Amino acid sequence: MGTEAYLIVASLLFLIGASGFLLRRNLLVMFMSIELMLNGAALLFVTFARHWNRMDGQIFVFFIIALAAAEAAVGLSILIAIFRLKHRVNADELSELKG
Amino acid sequence: MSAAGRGREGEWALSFHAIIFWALAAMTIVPAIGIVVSKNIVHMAFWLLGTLLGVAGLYLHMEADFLGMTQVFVYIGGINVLLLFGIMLTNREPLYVRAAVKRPAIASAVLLGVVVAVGLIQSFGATEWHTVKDAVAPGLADASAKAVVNGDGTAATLGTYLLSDYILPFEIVSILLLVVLVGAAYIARRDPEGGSA
Amino acid sequence: MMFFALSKQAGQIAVTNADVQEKFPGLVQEITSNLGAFLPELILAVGVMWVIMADLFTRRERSRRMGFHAFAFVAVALVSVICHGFSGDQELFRGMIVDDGFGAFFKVLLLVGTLICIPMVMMTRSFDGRRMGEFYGLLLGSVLGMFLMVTAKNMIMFFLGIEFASYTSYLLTGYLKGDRRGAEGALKYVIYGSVASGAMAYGLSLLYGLTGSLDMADVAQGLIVSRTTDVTVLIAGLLCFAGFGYKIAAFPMHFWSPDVYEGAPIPFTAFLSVISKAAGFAVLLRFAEGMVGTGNWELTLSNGDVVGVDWPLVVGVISALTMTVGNFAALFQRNLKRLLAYSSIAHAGYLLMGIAALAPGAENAIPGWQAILFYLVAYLFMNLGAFLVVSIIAEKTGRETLDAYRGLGSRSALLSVALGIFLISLIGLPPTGGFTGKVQLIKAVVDDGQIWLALVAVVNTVVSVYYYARIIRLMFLEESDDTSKVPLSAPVSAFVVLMIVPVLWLGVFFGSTVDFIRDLTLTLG
Repeated sequence: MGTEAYLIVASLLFLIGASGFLLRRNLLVMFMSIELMLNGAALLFVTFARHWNRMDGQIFVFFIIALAAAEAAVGLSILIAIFRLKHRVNADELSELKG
Repeated sequence: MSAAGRGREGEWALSFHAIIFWALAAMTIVPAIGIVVSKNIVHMAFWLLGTLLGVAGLYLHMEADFLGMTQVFVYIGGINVLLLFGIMLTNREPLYVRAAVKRPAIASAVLLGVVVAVGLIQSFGATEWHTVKDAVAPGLADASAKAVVNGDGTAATLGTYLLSDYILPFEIVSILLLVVLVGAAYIARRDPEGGSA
Repeated sequence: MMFFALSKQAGQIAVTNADVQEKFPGLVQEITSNLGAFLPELILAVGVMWVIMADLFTRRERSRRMGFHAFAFVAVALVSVICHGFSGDQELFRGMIVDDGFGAFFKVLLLVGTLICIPMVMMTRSFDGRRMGEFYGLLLGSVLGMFLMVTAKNMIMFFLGIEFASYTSYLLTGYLKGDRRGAEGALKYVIYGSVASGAMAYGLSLLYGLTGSLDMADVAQGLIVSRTTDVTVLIAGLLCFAGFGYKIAAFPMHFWSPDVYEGAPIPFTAFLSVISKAAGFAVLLRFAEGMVGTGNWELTLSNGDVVGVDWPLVVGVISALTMTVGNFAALFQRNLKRLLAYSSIAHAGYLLMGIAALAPGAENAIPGWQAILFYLVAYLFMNLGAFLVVSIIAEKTGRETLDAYRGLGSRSALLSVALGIFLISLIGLPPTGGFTGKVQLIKAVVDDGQIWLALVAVVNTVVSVYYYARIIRLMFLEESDDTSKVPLSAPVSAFVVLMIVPVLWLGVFFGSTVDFIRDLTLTLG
């Protein structure tokens, strides 16, 4: 398949992730949407790595995957901390800080 | 397999490739939409599994075998499982980050998203994607030095690059993982030190 | 196909040492020879591990002493940066990072800032009884990440450095686990930060796709030679800016910062508002300079075509919006920490003027990046100084609201005069570093012909007088019910005075600093 087809798939993945992030308000769903966006970016890198017949795009993806794992660990540890603090989540949203 | 090799395989192989590609693309995109529209968070985690597998498949289809495997191991085995833990922890009382989005807002956002998607694809279509053959920039003359050795699998090449050209990021990412995971463990740990929690 | 490739691989898996030597002659020697210039980073990396490990062998009540260890490592790193000098001009580790004056300047800036923040952490009582090894480990890790940000040449290092600094910042924001505001600030920080970095990764991948290289200089070359003037470049640039803009809290990526600044422990808020922002500007500057290759935003090709999006206008608009949003939101704040958060958004807007004016039109004009560097030095001392006073007052009174400052003039002359000087500098009035810095930034945009942006900056400065001067009025012109003196120990007083000196120095004897910055080298290959 040509590069353009992969570009479209990667961009759709990124945009679906972005819209999920903007539309959903559950923390975990927002995290999943972020993973979709990162996967879109990674897919784009691999596509271009093949397109240019070079390796460095794949190496970037290697780092994206490693960083995504660290990010998930950070996000979930903060989630656990906040969950422990709140015990019962109040009905609406995070309200302590107001814009 | 290289583009040239694919050309030699003829029409049948081309359509076979296309079928595989579209199947994988569907396997990636359909669950992704599922994540955004689904109401059940456990379902979403499994939709995510589907997408991640689809992306891994696309990597393999692009002959990035090592990345495909890494995607399965790290993303599905690590990140997706972590997310499932998160879901189990918070399933009964989900943590909302902001107020609910109203229906008209959703409709307009979806409309906007479609417009952006069409615009993006349009602009990609209009862009001239240069390749090595075009020899765009003199600075890129070394491109061939980093070219993939066709058909040999990428693990060996990737490893060589990670321990030569890219040794600095490789070492730094290990420090990063150490520091960040120690910190994450601290934050997630039950606090025996008093405090208000 | 794939499976074919996998099975074929088995027979050919080994890459021997000889292969490496053949492919990369002199690789090992090259990498070891680079380690000398990499010494400050190595010291920080050792420091990270040292404070975490040493803390395991320390009793809990003595854990705060880890601050001395961290301080020592940062000080040694600072000495090693200065000893290495500012005249470096080479690529390190196969073009991953560069060793140049620009990078060394930012390293000194980051380390000095950290040296100021660590005693602030040690003064803060809310950390008492906590394990501090992890805190300092994360703090040093954050600085290490920023070192990579400010010296990065390859997009992998840009991304890695930014993510390193970000992840540690998320965790440090929520370090006081019992504090609900801190935990919620950390949560907002990590969610919006992750989405910004996702957008940045996508933008970087588009740049890679357009040019076929991860190296900044190659990308710049590629964009020039391939003459891609289309929308894709604009999209890529804006998405990358989403990542960098998040670090510097520029509009529209600023919304996280008031919540995070208010929720984080005060010393770390100070760290975020100055040091993290300085590193973000270094990346942005390097990226912007790199994108334009020769230092010009628009390149005129030999056949007369002009290449590129009108970036100065894009950045100028972002700059104007950022300062306006920050200043107008700051008008209504009652909490001083939050007020300083909005004020730091406004300052990011002022600093962005320098990026809008990277290519000065007139002769003997100040290039935008030099104005930014000078302003960052002044901003480092004035903003950290303001946070130092806020931190001392919060320790003494337990309050961060403006009420705590009523009648401070009669309760502590030193603190009120110091805060007054820092605020005057933040407004940008003489004889302070804030004035000389802002004059340079405005001169840079005027020289570049963007008079409208200079006017917006001046109007914003006038607006900002209202909320800064309100604090000064509260301190000196209003009476408080509580007239007890605020007791200050000698070292704390000395610390405050030490912060005032550079602010006034930069306002009066700014020439030497300007000359120093002018001589810095900026290597982009």
